[in-house]
Amino acid sequence: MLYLFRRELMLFIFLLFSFFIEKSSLNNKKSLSFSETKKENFINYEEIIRENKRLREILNLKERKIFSYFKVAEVIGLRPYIYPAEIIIDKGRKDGIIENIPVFTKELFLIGKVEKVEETYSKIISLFHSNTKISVILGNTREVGVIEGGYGPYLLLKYIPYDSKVKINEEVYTSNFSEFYFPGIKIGRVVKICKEKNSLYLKIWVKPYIAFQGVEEVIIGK
Amino acid sequence: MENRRKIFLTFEQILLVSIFQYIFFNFFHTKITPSFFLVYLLLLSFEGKIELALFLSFILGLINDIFARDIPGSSSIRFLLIVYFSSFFVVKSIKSKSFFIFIFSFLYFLLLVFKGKNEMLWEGFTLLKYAVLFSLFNFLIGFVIGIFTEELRKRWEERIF
Repeated sequence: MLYLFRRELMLFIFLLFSFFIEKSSLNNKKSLSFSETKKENFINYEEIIRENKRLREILNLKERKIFSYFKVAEVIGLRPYIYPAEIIIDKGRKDGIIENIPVFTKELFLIGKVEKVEETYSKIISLFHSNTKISVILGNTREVGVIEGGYGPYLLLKYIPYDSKVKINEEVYTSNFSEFYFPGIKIGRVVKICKEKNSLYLKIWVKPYIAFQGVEEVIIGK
Repeated sequence: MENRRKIFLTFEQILLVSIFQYIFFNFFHTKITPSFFLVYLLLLSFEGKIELALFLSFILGLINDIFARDIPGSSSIRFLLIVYFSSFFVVKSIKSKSFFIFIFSFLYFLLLVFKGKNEMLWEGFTLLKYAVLFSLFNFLIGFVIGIFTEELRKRWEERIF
């Protein structure tokens, strides 16, 4: 009888194993990432030197006292692996992480915000997430709009008037009107401006700075 | 003897697929990386080796997570689901195998960006663009492997008989 359902049985057992491994690896904060494997098994000095350099830059930020609240975390998971909309970090509630705090790269470019905090890990929703909507301001024209994610590698900037003087390469920052983000955080640059018929607004595409670089360590701060 | 040969052959195939996947993950800096593991598992499933495909889905999923820097276990779940659903299709010709590889790769990509409650992490057009690109890469790999194995089989048969 069981032999008839061997596929289903195998599927069930292996799914159970997979869920267990996923859950336990999140709780133990162990990613099977290559950088970590290299560190532990092969002692890749180049990688350690690069990591030291990155951490030193983060330490400089801490000394400059830009943030009143400051945590550094390591990325242990990206989903999907290109233009990740969800990022899992190795710090959680017991490390003092709280929800809805902005997350940055070491260059202080905006990555997103902390969405969910568990005991030992947290989930960040990045600018590429379809739920991301942030009030932003254009660097030169000072016009305020809303940036939307979900269009990786770009972000869609809405509600900029049709007759705006916005130009390509103009920088985009968070505005004063954002609930979770303090003003002036660098997001990206304008890469394309589309004028659509029957619309009062321009359709502007912004390339975020985080699209240009990989994210290994993140700064959580406000 | 025959069993030992089969086990050895499977190990050889896994090693080869892993090498290709590793090379593509680390040395080809393309936006979308084709999944050699997924293509291999689907081909196994289409050949009727479903139990082996399910077992390897779990193992190769873990290896994929190491390569892709993902949370261990997450790829295994996706591979297992895709292989299970593909096991209901009996596919023989290279063309239809490639076609089904395209379809299941598309579904795999949707699983990758599935948020839950019928929502996706990306918006429609972007999702479609990358899903089609990923499926197309896998389709091509499946097609090339299909032709290559067919050619090998032909030559092997000619030599023996």
